[in-house]
Amino acid sequence: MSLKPGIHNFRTKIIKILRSQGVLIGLVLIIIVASILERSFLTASNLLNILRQASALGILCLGVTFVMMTGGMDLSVGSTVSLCAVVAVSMMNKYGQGTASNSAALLAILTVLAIAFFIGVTNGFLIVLFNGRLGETFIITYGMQIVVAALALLFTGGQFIAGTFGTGLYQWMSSGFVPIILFLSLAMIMHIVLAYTPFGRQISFIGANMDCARMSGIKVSGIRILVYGICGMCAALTSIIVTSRVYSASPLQGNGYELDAIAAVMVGGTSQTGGTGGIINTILGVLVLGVLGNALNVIGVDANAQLLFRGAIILVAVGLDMWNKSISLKESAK
Amino acid sequence: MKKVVVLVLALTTIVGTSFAQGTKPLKKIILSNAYYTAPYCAAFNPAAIAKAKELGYDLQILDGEGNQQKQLEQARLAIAEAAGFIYFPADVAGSVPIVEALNKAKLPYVIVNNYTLDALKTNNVPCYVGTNVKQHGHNMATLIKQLLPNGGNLVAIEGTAGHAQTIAFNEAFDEDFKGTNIKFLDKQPADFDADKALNKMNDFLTKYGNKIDVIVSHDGGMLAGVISALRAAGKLGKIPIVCAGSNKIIYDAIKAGYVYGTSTQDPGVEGALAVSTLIDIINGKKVPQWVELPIKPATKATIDNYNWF
Repeated sequence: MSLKPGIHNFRTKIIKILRSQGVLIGLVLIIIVASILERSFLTASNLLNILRQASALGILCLGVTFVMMTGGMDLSVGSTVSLCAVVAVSMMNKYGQGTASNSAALLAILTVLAIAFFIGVTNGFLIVLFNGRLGETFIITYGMQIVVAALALLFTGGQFIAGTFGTGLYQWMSSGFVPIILFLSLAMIMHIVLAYTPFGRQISFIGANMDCARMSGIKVSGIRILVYGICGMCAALTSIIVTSRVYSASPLQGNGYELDAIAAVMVGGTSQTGGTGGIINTILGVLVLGVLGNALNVIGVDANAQLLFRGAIILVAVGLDMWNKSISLKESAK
Repeated sequence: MKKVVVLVLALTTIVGTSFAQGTKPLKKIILSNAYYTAPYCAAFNPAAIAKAKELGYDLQILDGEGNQQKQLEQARLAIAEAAGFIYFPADVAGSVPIVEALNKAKLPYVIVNNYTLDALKTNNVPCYVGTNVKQHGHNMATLIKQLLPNGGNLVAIEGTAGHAQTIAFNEAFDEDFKGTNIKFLDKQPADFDADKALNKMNDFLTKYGNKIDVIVSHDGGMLAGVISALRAAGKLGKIPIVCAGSNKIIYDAIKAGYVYGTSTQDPGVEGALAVSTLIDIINGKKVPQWVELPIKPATKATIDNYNWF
């Protein structure tokens, strides 16, 4: 059955808009519905809350975006958050009393950044060693997830660590607009790197076609290792913000973060097979899940029903990604 | 010929080893812990190991990973090679196949930590060492009633949605608040995660603002998030909190006056009691079907009477 040209053009336009702006439209719709159903949703303090809540996970998502753009996956980021959290808070408790708080904070931040970078680089090295594609990155980083989680448990003996350190730089990291500014600044830098530098373009090229990238003379191994290192460092920054917010650390702190991050990145529109997507998409994905979670709480939706909404959003995102790809394939065939 | 010799030697070794094992008295007990990595078990596990050593047994603790299937395999391992089994379940629901396997094998065993008294009878469990989970709910309700004699509004940060503990706490609240003016404005699960609790608490403050009279936190880990949210909103110390658990965060918060009271539970005592009860069963002593772990409400005036981990 063929459609009239006018209707066909209209449908094509709608599909184009949905493909390019679907996440943004979804975000606006959630905000409109939530504002109508609950007045307190659209207040400055609540919007600030949403942005603060989204910032910690958002930073992790930036790193995961880089990894997913290369056509890989990193399941170890959750336990990296846990390990960095317990190391940072333990260091702060030990060295961050009184006037030494700021220098201890710097030391703790640098230490966990180094630890997380090492974990990430090790992931990258192993993946390169086995010439891993998407499937192998799952298994290798899953193995690393278990190892790092065990290290976090061994480090603390399984104990919850309450913060006893003084106020200063460490607590400032989660105060007011700081986490939001940190997230947006980092997002801007990573967006510029990904979209406007040769390094960023090489990341996308590797994700789109690794063999072609290799044949074009791109140093695929080095870039992949570095990308996993960057992802690890994002996990470290997330751990700092989370522990600064809750003034404590648990060896299970980052449990499940990896899946939340992957979900947010995919909802944003970065493809799970790599090559397409970007940081702006990820910001939108983080905001969609953050705003949705907050809206459901503020509206008073039952916790079990909330899971249904979250799951549905992720499924729709995956569906759109696959739909997008099939349309792109058809377009290229034409 | 060589193959036959190797085969005979191998068979002799296997048979010899199994005979040697069979003649030794079994001094090994296995604990399958569904919450092996939880902070609570960081105090529970060492206490259990120490008690077993003291009583001349070797305790092997296995991580059940919150997975009933894994725990069933661990129970089967205990049936094959241990003198007794301690089962720390993920949840009452789903424990039936493990209980049935243990009952069928007639292996001495105890269930610890979280089991409902109704399920003890229904599932034919010979011995449970632990609290009446629902009693935590009653203890918290008592503390809330002290704070709100004329009624008021509550919000609750719960553990995992649908978990037996969450259900038992809520049943106790429903029973104890019947006929009073105390009511829940909202309840949300935070999966025992401080950061999730912080976010949920922020959302409660946004939605209900000054309508909240008391906050209920189902454990001490999530309490850290609740406190951070209240601190950021400038409401720390202005809305009393009631919680369950005995960790040091709760202790400090009660001392500081942020938490009015908690329903205590000592993991060290529980771990040791589980082992000593199991060894009593192994030695043929009669034990009650429910070896009760006492849980009591603690407030600022009484916190130093309890252990904190």
